[in-house]
Amino acid sequence: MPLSPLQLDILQELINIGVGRAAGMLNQMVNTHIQLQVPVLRVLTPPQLEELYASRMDTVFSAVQLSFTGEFAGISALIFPPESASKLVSVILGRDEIPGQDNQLRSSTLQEVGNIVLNGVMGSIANILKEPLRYSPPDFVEDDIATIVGSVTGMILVARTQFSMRDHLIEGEVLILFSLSSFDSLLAAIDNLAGE
Amino acid sequence: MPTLLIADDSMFQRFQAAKTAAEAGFEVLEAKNGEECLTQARAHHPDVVLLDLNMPDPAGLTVMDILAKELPGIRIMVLTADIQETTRQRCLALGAVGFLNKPVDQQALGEALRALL
Repeated sequence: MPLSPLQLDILQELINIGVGRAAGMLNQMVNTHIQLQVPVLRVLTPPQLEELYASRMDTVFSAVQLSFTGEFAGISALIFPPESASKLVSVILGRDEIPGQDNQLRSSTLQEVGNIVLNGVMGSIANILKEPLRYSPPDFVEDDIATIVGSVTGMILVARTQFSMRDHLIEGEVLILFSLSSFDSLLAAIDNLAGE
Repeated sequence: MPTLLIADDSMFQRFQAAKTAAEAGFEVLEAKNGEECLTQARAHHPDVVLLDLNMPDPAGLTVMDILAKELPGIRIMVLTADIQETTRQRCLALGAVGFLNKPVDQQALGEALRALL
């Protein structure tokens, strides 16, 4: 693991804060408490990442991907199992669904939820580290986990947080993949924060 | 009736904002990317543009830059998921009359739009 204990601790806390901010935004959208699990950070190879999802490799998930670049780069994703995705859309749209445009509005709604949540996570981290990020427009996909995480090569730093909305039986997770090619910049920013 | 141009690649956002804007007394135009936003703005000279930033072809900041040169009197209210302070500062420096983060309370959005009239 190329991070010191202090660096890991700080990065963990940054992700905690980012996910907390995102949970607040999600709470506003669905008007229900968001239960968060503690984020888990690991450095993995792509096969090891796939191993995390081995028991669900054939499952089709609904996901929003937001790529980010700047001093550090990677992909963030908000991932829902299909039943949770449908329930979330129903909660957000309530009675405002437009008949005849359900599929388009459904995917658009999920895409925007992902956009907001992932911006909440990454923007919080960027604000604290004072390292601006640039984003590509969010992508909505319905596919297996291997496709969602994309064709990453080399080692990746994976931050994974699961969350649930008990009132609506909705669960999902936030996944952040940091490209290790930009790792030095990420660590430098963390070291600056630590005052080292 | 004042005109509001909503520029956002999210159909969901356009749908929500259009409803709020209509209730606030605006005639609503929509654009789903930067190019459509520019086309609509040049053709209709809306009173206000509600502009998303992270959209394609071109992105919102480029649209702001172009509109500032071509239609200097146009009022732009940014509505974005990007919570970075640097983004907010950049938009205000480009002349945005307001900067709101998503998710936005629709009542607050309506009041912010009405306040521009």
